Amino acid sequence: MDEIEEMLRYIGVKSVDELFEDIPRSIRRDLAIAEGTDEREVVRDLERILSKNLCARDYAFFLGGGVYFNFVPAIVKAITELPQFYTAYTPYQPEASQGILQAVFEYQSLMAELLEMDVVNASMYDGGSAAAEAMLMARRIRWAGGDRKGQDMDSIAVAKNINPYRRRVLETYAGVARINLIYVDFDKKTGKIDMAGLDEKMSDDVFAFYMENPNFFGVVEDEVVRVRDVIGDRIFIVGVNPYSLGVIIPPGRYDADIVVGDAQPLGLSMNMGGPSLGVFACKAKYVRRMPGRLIGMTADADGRRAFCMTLQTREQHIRRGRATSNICTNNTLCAIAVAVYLALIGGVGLRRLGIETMKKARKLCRVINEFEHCLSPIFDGKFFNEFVAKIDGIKERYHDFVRNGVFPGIPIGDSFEGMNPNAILVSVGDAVTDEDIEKYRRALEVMASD
Amino acid sequence: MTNASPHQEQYRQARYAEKLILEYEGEPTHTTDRDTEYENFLRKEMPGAILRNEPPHIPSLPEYIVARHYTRLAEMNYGITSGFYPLGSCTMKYNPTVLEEVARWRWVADIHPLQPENAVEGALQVMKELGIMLAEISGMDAVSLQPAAGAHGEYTGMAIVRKYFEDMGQDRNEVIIPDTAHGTNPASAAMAGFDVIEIKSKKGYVDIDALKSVLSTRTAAFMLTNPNTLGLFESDVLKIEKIVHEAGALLYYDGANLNAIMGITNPRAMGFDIVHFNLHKTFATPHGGGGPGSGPIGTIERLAKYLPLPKVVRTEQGFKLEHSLSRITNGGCLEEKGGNDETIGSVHTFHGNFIVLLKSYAYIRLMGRDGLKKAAERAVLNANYLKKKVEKILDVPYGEIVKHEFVASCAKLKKYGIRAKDVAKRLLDYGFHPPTIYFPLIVDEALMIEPTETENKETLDAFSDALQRVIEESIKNTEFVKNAPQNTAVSRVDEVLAAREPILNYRRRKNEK
Ligand SMILES: Cc1ncc(COP(=O)(O)O)c(C=O)c1O
Repeated sequence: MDEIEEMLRYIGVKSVDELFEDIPRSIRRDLAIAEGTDEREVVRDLERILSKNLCARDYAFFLGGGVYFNFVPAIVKAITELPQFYTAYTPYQPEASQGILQAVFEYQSLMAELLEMDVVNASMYDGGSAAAEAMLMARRIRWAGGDRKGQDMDSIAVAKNINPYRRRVLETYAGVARINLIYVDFDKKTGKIDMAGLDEKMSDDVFAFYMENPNFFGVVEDEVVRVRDVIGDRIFIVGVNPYSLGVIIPPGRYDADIVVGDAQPLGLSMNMGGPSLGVFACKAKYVRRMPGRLIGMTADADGRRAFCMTLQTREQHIRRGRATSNICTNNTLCAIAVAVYLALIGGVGLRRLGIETMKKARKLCRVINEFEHCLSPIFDGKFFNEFVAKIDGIKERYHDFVRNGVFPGIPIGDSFEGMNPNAILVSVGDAVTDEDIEKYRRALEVMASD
Repeated sequence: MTNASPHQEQYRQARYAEKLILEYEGEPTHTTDRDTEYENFLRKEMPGAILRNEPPHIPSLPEYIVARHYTRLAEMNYGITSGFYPLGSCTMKYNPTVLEEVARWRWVADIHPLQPENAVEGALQVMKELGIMLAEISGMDAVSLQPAAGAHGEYTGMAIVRKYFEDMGQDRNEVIIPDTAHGTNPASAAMAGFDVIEIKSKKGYVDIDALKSVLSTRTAAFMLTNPNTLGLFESDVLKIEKIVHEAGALLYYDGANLNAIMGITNPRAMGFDIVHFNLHKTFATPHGGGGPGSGPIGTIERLAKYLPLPKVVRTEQGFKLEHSLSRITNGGCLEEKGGNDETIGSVHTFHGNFIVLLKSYAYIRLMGRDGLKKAAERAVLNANYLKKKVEKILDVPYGEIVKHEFVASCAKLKKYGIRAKDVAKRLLDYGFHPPTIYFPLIVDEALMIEPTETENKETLDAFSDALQRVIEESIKNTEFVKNAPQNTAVSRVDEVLAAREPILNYRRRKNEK
């Protein structure tokens, strides 16, 4: 007797079908998908399909805008492939999950160190949803603050030079939550936030201000240190590229209340944009209004150091409809990857990489500017590792660049009002080589010669 | 103790007093001429107001230290490859290793979300084919792949409900949810601005009268998972469908429990309008110790226009994939909102968790239509078999025949001072990950047990033997059970202390000293 027979007999039914008798016949449906196959076949087939993708390593690759072509050390991948890590569920049983818990606590610690913020959570899905959750949290803080009751404080000021993909997520969440977005323009010459414009937008119904540093154009917002004076006690939310924090002061030093960002550049592959890592940090006084999981340090019954999920009364499984967020599954494994990366390269390594990419970006920027049909950069604000150039004809000739082995950047001419239609965001990850920059030059030469 | 189970004899989790990574000494850094040159460059190129004068205070560790540190941590963590993981509601099935392999390929890892469409044809093909498979599995007309987890899918679904009624000019602000629902259901509805109305269950099922009594012209949606969180199939689902739709509301399906019904029935046949999938449950993508997951969302035709991109839509000419990459090389890095574009927008920066989508795609290809149906059948067989065994030990208050999971109650142990949590901890000593505890809320001292299909009879028997032993110990040797676990990396963790004086990172701890 095989074990299925034995089990059926034990249950007291004759067939597996009997176990489904509670499902009415009228709603029975077969599956309309193909037959299964074996591992060999799936691998062969997927190789055929996926090798149609053009992959960054085979090109001179200059796309960025939130996801960067950075080098990922082998050890980072090896550690996230340890099955005890990647096959585990959320650490609901801390005694058997100290590995994940300590690793995430370390992520929270390393990220807090980098941002110089009090509290970092265990992760959000990505930079966009983290920014959206920050907006919702900011409103919760202000409504609870009692300084202005009710729903009349329903606007958030948002810098127009933020990542437009993140802006789209913000707009979506804001629409659902009945929050008004008030845009703060940028200076067309520098690419930076127009500080006078920010001041004008600070009406009574504005509960928070969201900006990014560096902004979408790669320009660093050096006047960020003045923002607090302008916005008063409104909630100050900053989106950072954590990769830039080896060379730029951390947001904790300019009095950010909530910090978000995407840590993909710190040890995660580009992965077609997902998964990446949503970073979420805030001041200690706001921790109870924070979304997401938090790992805390505590002790076991024998006094040994131990870790567990904590402050869970904020969360959906306890607070249900009154939770600070619905987030349950997050991006833990990505947080561990980022921690491994940071531990490996350290603060000094991050600074060196930051400087190196800045140097390469400047080199490329000059190369582009040598051409008659180009202007680079179009903003005169100082930039980190990406910049906006104007390359006449770029839209029509994009595919020629690719044929010449170059992904030249992200055309953004249509995405911002008043932007030059031939504007392109050119980003330099640390996987970029000098040879890649030469390839860009050659592609521009080809373009100029016909 | 005599007759210790072989598991108990064997199971010992590694126990290291492993330092925090920030407690390791970093490698000394030698400043070279290059660094001096770098610093000069930086001071010139970074405006003084925001120039960071010194590197962040993060030590740099040699690779072998990092490798050992994390290997030790991994040894102090229980995963699917460690053993049985009957964590109810989480569908902890075994994750085929090949899924990891394909996800590592350079054509997967090294592609950017804003490459023009002809540069990511392979990725788009995977998205399209996966979208079609999910549409077929659920019976839905359109599927968006953007949400990054189940709860994210729920939020997206609730946003669609909101937009739909706005467009209809109807003021509906209530979402009804059974008391057995997962916490993310009410949380997602509330996040989308709805008032949540919870209804009590009757014998573990939706109480149709209770539902009727709260349905009104203010009802926007009813959220349900079927089989529900007690593992019971709501056979009256068509009645529910009828009264909800008659009230003008929409029906939302929480797909976390899809594993029980694949190839048998589907949410469309049950009358649902919107459904989310948990790829990290039903479709075998590993959970990563907490994530990343993926929560695609399917809808009926009428709601398809609201879905975020990328999405697959059923048309007369077959399915078509809509995505946001077609405008990239035109200088518009954004899909236009407004005009004919009625989508709610975007809930993720790019195209969702592509890697997770790919793994599920590979899994469904491996399984195929018979494989998925067999998985559902075996999951249900395993759950009923284990239930029958557990019933001899503990009270299982709801259900004769269950689907993929069942909920036992440890209430009878309360008089010995033993709680569900104690039972869970002691199970760890026997080398088993415990069931979900204290959920669903309507079962006192709940143990929610979901064996999944990737387990054999031997494992189920060993688990029920261990459970039996734990119950006996709970009565005879109460203190011992209360002090469990002993075989894990640490003994009972003080969660109260953690919440009373939260230490949420190492840096903060230093500051407070
Ligand atoms: C029944 C049910 N619904 C929804 C969810 C939420 O899914 P996720 O954790 O992917 O956000 C879960 C999982 O935790 C669940 O078990």
